[in-house]
Amino acid sequence: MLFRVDPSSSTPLSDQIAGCVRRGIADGLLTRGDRLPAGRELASSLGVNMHTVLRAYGDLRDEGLIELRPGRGATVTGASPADQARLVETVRELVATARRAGVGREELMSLVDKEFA
Amino acid sequence: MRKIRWFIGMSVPPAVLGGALLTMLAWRDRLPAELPHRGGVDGRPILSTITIEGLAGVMLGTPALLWLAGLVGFVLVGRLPATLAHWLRATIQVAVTAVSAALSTVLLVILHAATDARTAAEAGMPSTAAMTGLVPLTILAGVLVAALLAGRRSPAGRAIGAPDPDATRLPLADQEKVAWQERRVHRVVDLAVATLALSGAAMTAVLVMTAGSPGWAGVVSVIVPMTLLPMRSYRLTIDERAVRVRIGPISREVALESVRRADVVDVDASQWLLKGVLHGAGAGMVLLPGPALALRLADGSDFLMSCRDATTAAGLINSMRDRQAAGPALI
Repeated sequence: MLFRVDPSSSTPLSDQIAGCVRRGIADGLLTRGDRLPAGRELASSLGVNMHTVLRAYGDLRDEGLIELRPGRGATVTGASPADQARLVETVRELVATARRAGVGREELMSLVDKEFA
Repeated sequence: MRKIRWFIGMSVPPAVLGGALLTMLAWRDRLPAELPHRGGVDGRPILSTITIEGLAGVMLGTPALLWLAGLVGFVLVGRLPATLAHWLRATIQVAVTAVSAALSTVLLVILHAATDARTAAEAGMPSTAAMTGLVPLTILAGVLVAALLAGRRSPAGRAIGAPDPDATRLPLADQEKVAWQERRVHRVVDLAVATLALSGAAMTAVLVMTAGSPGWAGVVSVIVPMTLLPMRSYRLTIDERAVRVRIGPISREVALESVRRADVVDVDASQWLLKGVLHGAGAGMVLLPGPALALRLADGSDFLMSCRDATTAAGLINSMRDRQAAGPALI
C-alpha cells in the first residue's frame, strides 16, 4: 500500500501515516491478519523518525484497527476492520466539519444521539 | 568488490571438495579396500563392490567437472546484459556449491560408516539420520553461502534522464515523501507444501513396508517440502532509494537510479512459468499470472514482480525517477 506524507502540511506526520493505513484498510488493500511494515523499515523508507511511525501505530491500536505484539509487529485486527476504518475516518471528518461550522462537542453529541434515536 | 565476491564464491566448491578429499585420505588406513555397491543390505549377499578410489572419483569428480563447466559458464555469460549475467552467475554458483556440498557430505557419511571395517561385508550402512538430516543441511548451507556471496543487488547501471513522457505517473507534491510497502502470504505455497509432504509420507510408508528400514530414507521427501515454507512470505518495498522484493529468503534489490521506466504488464501462465520458474529470480519474482509491475532497467533488461496495485506502484516509480532526473534538490 502507498504511504505518503507531506512535511510541509499542518497535519502531524504521525496522523498522516495513520491516515494512510486507515485508507488502506478501508479500501481493502489491508485485511484482517495482514502485517504492517516494521516501524524502523517504514521510517527508513519515508525518511521520518521511527517514533513518528510508532506513534501512528499506537493511535491505530487505540482505535482498535491493529494490534501490536512484541516480535510480531503490527497486525490488522477486528471483526470488520474495513468498516471500523471507514467509521474512524468519518468521525474524524465529522469533528473537523463541526469545528469549522462552530458546532461544539455537546451540540454535536446531541445531533448524533438524535440520529441514533 | 563484486569480482572478489565472485572469486570467493567460486572458490567455495573446490575448498569443500578438497576438504572431503583430505578427510578421506586421513581415514584411508581405517577403511576397507572396497565397499558394497549392490546388495549387502539387511543381511542380503553383496552382489558387487566398488573401490574407495572409484567411489571418491565419482562423488568428488562429478562436482569438480561441474565446477569447471561453471567457470566456463561464468566467462560466457559475460557477453550478456549485466543484470542477466549477474543472475546466471548467481545460479551457476548456487548450483555448483549445492552439488559439491551434497556429494562431499554423502561420501563422508558413507566412508564414516565403513571406518574400522576390514572387508566390504563388515562395512556398516550410513545412518538414516545422517543421510536425511545432515545432507539437506549441508545443501542448505551451501545454497545460502553461495547466494549471499552473489549478492541481491542488480548491477544494471544508471538510467539517464527521466522516464518517457507516455509512462504512467502518480502526482506528487514537491516536499512529499512516499513509499510503497506490501506484505502478503502466498497461499499456493502452503497448498503445495501440504500436498508434497502428504505424498512423501505416503511414499515413505510404502517404502518401509516393501524395503524395510532403508525405506525410512523416504522421510527426506517429507522434510524437503518443509524447506519451501519460508517461500510463502512476499514483500515489496519501493522508496526513493530502491525497489526491493523478497520471496522468503530470496531477495532482489534494484536501485531506483537503474530504472529507466516502470509499467504494468499482464503476465499470462506461460510467461509466468518462463519468468518465474525457468529464469528464476533474475528475471522476475511473480507469484501468480495476472497484472504485474515491470521495470525496464538501464542495461535494457526487464524485471517483473507481483504488486496488488501495479498501476499506482508504476506511477510512483516513474514520478520518483522524474524527481531524480530533475536533481537532488527535489528529492
